[in-house]
Amino acid sequence: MKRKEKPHQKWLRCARFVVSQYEKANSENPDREPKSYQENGSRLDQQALRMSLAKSRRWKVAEAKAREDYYRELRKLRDCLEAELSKDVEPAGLVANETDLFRDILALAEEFAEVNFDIKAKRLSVYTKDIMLEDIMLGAFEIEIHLDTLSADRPYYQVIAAAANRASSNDSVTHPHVQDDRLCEGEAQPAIKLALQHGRLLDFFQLVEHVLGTYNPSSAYVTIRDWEGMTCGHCGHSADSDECRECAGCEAVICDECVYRCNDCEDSFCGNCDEPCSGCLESVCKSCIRTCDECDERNCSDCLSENERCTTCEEKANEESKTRDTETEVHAERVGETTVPA
Amino acid sequence: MKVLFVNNDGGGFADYVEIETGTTVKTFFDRRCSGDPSSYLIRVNRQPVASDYVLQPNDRITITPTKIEGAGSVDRQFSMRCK
Repeated sequence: MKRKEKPHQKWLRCARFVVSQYEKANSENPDREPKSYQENGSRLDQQALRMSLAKSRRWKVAEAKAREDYYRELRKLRDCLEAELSKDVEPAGLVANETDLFRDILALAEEFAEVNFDIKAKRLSVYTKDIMLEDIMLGAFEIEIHLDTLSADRPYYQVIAAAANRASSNDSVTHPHVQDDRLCEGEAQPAIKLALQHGRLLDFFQLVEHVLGTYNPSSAYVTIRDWEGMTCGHCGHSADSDECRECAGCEAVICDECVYRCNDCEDSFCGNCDEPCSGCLESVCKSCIRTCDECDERNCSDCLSENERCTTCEEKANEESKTRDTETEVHAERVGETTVPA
Repeated sequence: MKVLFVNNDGGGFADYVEIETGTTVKTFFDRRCSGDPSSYLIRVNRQPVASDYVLQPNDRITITPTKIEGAGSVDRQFSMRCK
């Protein structure tokens, strides 16, 4: 009969496994080995020699070329050195050992509702408590780290909604900052990265949990306000986001039922930013609508003449002009004549 | 004496720091951090402690903000605040 494993044994195995992953990463990562820069130095010396030779012989073109090559080599060496120096991020003794990891995992069991370790799948996960942001209940989340990726530059983990309350406008969004089970870490990114580099698993899970418990409306996949659909600013009804749009005038959200399309610019507007043309009664936005110079009626560009008159005023002006023309035909001008009644 | 200070605020920080004997958690927080202690999860050796707990040599004090703003966008890999 198979003996049942005690919880502490399981966590100890987990800690050992995590340590083995970090050790493996250290031994496999060639970047951890000190590098020699002798070759770069030799090339630099060679270019310096060429430069001084060209200079001594007053070969201006050759000197310029040698100088260019010298500085290119120098920059290359500087980049290599900077890359090497950037690897020196972990003060000795800070990377977790087996005892630290074991304590971290024990603490996880105290801090979180549930902790699971699957050695076959190489995954360690915890369940958060139910998360509610503003008035929206998003439920608990499982934070699952793939232990075999701990050596990667960005270890892989998922944030899976246990009983997803998805955004109505986007099925892949289970939290304002989670899409496709991936958390957009935002401000927590550097701290999470460092915690995983150091093997501080408890800190990692707590950081992720705290991001899940915080709502940042200015940078969310879907805002809480729109979680259950968007509210039309005109009729007040809720609608899916793909059935809503933003008014190009005042930026209010309007549903397809309440949208007006400007006859001139063809943008979408709400009822407050749009009015009917007094000529053709088509919708025109406040930026495009123009006023007739004669009667002050508001018209679209199609209904306004080149003289900035509406159709009625234009016709009226034309008739008056015709009448004036007719009258002018019987009044000879500037010849000293006048009509005499018969 | 030395304690391990893990600061999960901002860019993250973890290193041994020198403190005076008799330093309490409250004094440590006041000297090293800013803001309201209630906005942080403070643990010593992974356990919750009272603010008047006197830190001991080689204690590990962890300070984690309780509110950390996430983001949301296409480029999750490289930007902190992506939208």
